[in-house]
Amino acid sequence: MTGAVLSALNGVDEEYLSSYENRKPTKTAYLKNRKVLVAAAALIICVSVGAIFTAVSNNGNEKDFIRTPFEPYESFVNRASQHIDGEETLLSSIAPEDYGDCDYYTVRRRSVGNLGALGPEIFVVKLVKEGITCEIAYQPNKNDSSGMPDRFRTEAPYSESIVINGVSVAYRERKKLTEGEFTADSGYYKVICYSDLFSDFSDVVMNLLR
Amino acid sequence: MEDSAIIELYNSRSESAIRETDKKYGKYCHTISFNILGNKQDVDECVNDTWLKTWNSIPPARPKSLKAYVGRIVRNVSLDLAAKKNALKRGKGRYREVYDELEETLSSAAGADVTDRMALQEILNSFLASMTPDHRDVFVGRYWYFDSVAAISAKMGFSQSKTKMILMKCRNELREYLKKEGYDI
Repeated sequence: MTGAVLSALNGVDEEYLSSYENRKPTKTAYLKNRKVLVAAAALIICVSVGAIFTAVSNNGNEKDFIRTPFEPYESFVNRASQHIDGEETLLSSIAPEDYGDCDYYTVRRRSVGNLGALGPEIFVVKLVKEGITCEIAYQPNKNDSSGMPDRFRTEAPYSESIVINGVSVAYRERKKLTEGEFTADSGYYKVICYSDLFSDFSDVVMNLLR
Repeated sequence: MEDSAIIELYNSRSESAIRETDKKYGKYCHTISFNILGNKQDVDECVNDTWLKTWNSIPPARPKSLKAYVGRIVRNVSLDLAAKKNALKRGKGRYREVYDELEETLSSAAGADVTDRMALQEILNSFLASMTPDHRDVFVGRYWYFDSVAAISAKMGFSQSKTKMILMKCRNELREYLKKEGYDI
């Protein structure tokens, strides 16, 4: 009978459905409900703390996520993956727990190219350790730098390629001091992570940071 | 896009009809299905089935309200899947909770004759018509939308205990109503 009633309810008049759908609690009704008030206060606190944390950690970019050494790795992955469309597996690949040795790092998901949000996506991980910065770009299922923003191409000017297995995977950016003049090593690396070099990749990054 | 324009797309067999329906009512259907099933994969499957059923039924159907039409389909498809999953004790959503709650009141009616579903549908409609608007909305929120008591309370501006009291009263009234209509409860 219960199943039949639940099933037969499917045919209730539309006006009853829309009546519930369009219900909006009155202000006074809300205020009368103490639990709602407590929940609202808690929500305001959470939102405020969250906004401050986001503003500080994201440096104004809501898709950047900073992990400090104080945050457990799992918590970071949970937090970041909620905002990176649940790409938890991919996230743990491009930002593995090893990187916890860094002072901090950020993960960012970006669409590139002229198609805006429809363009190919890349993941950019930025690691900082003792003044050395390493920025990694990973484009799923790609083994060349096509589609990457210019700043990640190994042929970009003022750079020195790092080659692994015959493939340029990284370059060390020379810091431009004045027009036409730059230092040999600014301690700033840019790395492209290729799909089929994944196994070597983690070591490369860690070596750069050592 | 207006419902009538979307229905015209169905009538002219344009596949953008499904895209427009999804854009307009996708979230609504997902919410109903998720309340019942509580599992994203199952929900996606049910919503896709809903679009297919909508595509196959319009035309000839020409619903007055596309929202209610797709809402009914997704609820039906989700209830079928929930019943199957619960038979295998794999259900995750609110289906079991709501079912058990209603079952407590209608428990002795296991063998009741419900072969005439249209008649039961009419009886339920007249039962809803006899209720006060507040009670009816709470009832519909719980047993049509499968919303949580907390969600219904927030929507209605009631405390949770008040909502639970209303639900209990509604269930008892339903029981009496069905008895009066000749159901063996």
